[in-house]
Amino acid sequence: METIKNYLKIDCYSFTMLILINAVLTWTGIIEDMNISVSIQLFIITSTIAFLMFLTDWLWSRKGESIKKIFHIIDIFISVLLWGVVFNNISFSYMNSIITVISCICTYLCVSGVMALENKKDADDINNSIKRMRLKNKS
Amino acid sequence: MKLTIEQSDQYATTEIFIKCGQIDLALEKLIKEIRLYGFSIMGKKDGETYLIKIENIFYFESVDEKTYIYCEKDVYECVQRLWEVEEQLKYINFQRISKNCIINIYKLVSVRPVRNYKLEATLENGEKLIVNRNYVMLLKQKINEQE
Repeated sequence: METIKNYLKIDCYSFTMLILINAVLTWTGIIEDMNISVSIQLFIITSTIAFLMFLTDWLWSRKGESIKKIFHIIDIFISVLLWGVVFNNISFSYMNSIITVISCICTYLCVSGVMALENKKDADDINNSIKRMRLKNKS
Repeated sequence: MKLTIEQSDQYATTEIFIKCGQIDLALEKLIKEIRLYGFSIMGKKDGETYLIKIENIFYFESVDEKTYIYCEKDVYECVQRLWEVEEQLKYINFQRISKNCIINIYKLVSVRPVRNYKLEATLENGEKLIVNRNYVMLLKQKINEQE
């Protein structure tokens, strides 16, 4: 259950990040106006990424973490390219490819950052609880 | 709840007597904890078998299908499998922190975030163990239960 929750979190964070990036790109006029179907497509893409990451972690659970990170980035590109072709909204122009690559990497870095912050918060919470528990056990 | 403790030299053994109308979940948990009071786990070392008091155990670890008991300095081979130990100790101060490790949370000193969203737990004897992301919430809940 906790495993599913973690991948759902990744899905939600990456979806939020992609929507934000798309909103900024729309606002600056780099891409066309984003409509509802694009947001649904983005959700399908991020869900596929989360699923592929889960598969990567499951299949290569004993592999080194750095290798897994590389696989995770590959997972992102597989999903983006696959659904881009299916939804027919990907063009392999120079500009478009750069935007896609930068968006993917930014999303990956931001999601990693948010997850790291969350991890730090969990550690702080646990440390506070440990302190209280040890005080109680001493008294 | 009324708690009565009678302390006297005339009692040779400790006896806990519960009077209740109904056994609810909290009481059931308390009874399970009392049953584990003074409980020991069998461990083997250098061909000899020892009974190790639960409060002396720092953590259990499973390596190559074998379960080991780690105390402050000594390591014993446990006769039970890790899942059996987990089942036995799930109502008290022991928590699984990864696929192959169960710790005594009373021996936990601190945790710190490490790479890949995992935590590194430091025990009283200075040993460091990795808490897998999937067990962080469960560890948090378990510590909060003990507060």
